[in-house]
Amino acid sequence: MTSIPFVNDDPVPVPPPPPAPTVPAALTVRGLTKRYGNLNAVDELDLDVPKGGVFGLVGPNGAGKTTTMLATVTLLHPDRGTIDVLGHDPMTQPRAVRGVVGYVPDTFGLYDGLSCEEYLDFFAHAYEVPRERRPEQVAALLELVELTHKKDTDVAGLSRGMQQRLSLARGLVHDPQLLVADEPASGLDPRARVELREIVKELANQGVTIVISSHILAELDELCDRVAIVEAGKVLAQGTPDEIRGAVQAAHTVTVRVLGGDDALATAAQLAGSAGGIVTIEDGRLRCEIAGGEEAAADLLTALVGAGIRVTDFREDRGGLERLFLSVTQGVIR
Amino acid sequence: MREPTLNPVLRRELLERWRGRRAAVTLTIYLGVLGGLLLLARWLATSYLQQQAEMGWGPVAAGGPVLGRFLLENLLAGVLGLVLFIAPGYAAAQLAGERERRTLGLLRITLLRPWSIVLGKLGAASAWSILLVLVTAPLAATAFVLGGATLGDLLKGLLVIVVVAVCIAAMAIGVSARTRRTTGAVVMTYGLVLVLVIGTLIAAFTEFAARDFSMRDGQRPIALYANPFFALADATSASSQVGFGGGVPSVLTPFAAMLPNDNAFGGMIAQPGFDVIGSGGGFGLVGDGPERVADSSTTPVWAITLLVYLVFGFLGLLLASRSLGPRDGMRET
Repeated sequence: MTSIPFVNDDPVPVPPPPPAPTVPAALTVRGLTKRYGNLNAVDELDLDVPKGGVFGLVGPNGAGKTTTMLATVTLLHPDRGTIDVLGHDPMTQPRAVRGVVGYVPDTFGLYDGLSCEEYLDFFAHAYEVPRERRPEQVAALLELVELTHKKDTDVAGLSRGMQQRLSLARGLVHDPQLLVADEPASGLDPRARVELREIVKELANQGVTIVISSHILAELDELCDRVAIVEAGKVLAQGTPDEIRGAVQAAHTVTVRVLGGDDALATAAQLAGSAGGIVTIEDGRLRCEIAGGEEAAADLLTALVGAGIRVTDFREDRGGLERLFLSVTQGVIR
Repeated sequence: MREPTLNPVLRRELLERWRGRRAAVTLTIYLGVLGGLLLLARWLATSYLQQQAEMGWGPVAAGGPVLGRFLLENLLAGVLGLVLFIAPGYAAAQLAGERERRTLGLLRITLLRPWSIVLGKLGAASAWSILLVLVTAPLAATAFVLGGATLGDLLKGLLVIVVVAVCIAAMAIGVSARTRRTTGAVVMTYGLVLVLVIGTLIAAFTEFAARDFSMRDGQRPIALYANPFFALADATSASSQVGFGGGVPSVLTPFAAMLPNDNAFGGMIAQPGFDVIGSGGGFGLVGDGPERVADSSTTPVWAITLLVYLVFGFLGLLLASRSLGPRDGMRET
């Protein structure tokens, strides 16, 4: 990672590399490169996914997310680079990796003519789950994804949301320590997305490390502890959303509400402006972009209160993952 | 120690394909077609023999070993033809179908080894072919009880059909592993079957012509050894000595004429082994029907053909197994 490009044309400071996670790594990728003809699908990509929690891979179509995931789950040989999945190398120890990783692709692999129960039982068998454990395991997974009532239904007869939940259950059939889910919410209606999100949260609570990619950034925002922003085959930034924000945003934006009507608001605006911030008034609120981070924000609040302005709300407008994504990426289309 | 269990891929295929009505309907149609063909063959043979008897050429009017052998040869040839027609379509869809419905990747990232996946697929495809052959047994029995063929002829014939069907399924799986689409795999596999059935005859004729239409005793164009009907003719001891007092020409008769101990390519002429005796109101046959002059010192044609098919089949499976690794540009999930 050499620079962080912004959507505007201003020169961008080089952010420091993300601090090494203190918890053991579930997935470490170094210098991953994969070319398809002239296209660099993944280009010297580095990734650090610590054990536990939900890690989001954020990026536009063709950014290299799926290629990275396929290489991680042993379905693709990269041209260069190394991958370490819970201490195993997918290229030289594929079976060891397959034993600890579950994969949920962006499409549902359908076997016509099998019931949900038989479908999961088949994959449990293929993952060498002992025969005596399989019924219990399948039942538990069907319960987790709330498909117990559909256990005898042909998988082809499920709705897309149900199929995606079953797909998630399939990825968990051998109790993996790492679950890689590629756009699992793609094409789902809002209710199905919420249900899927709840299941992912539940899995994370159970200690499964989850790497998830999605276009729906608001969803990842709620779900992910850490994210990596990927564009044109490279990781542009990774860490917790706050870490990335701290690295890429030079100014803090705070919104302020005060009592006393327009006069008080104008006074507050004047005060904030004199402190060096860029101030706008929107919908009866003061919006201040102030340089200097949290210190400057605290100083502004102190100044407002000291001037007798009755502040009712003072908050940092952090923006969502979407804003962060837009500020980091430059919309490279390949 | 792990308990032995049915290969999961095979188990799933059996569940997926065999418990629906489709399998039962297919089997019913298959047996119906085969039964119909057998009746038609019986009617044709009876008419032929009656005609010969009326003209004073033939020894018998109806029934008996000539009819039994004729029916058995045609039945086995019909089964082989149907198996060659049905098996490739099913087997060719195995891996290409998984790829097409984006399940091959899901299968590959399980703990199943490539050979296990491939053998499961072969088992599923072969089970179908073997079932088709087994359900033919009652029909074969109706022909067999008439005499004219030994139990050995029947068993060797069935063995040839089963091994050819399994090996073609194995080759089809090899083709299937290298193609993106099921349609492509099916077309290529049928092309392969055409090469084995028709192409080998063309190649044999070409070689025969290149040798001025004459070959030494026991020497036959090498391509014939890859022809399944050639092997079946040998396994069932079919003969080219038909008509004018001999047997009734069957589908296998032209192939029998090409066998090393026949005379179609020059060399020794085999004699039919019929003895005509009086039998009440008409004539009957004794003995086991036409016999060829067998050269016990050489390996039977059918054994050589099966060896060729086993090698091809193994190569197909090897190709399929090796193709189950990561492949650039092919989405499998």
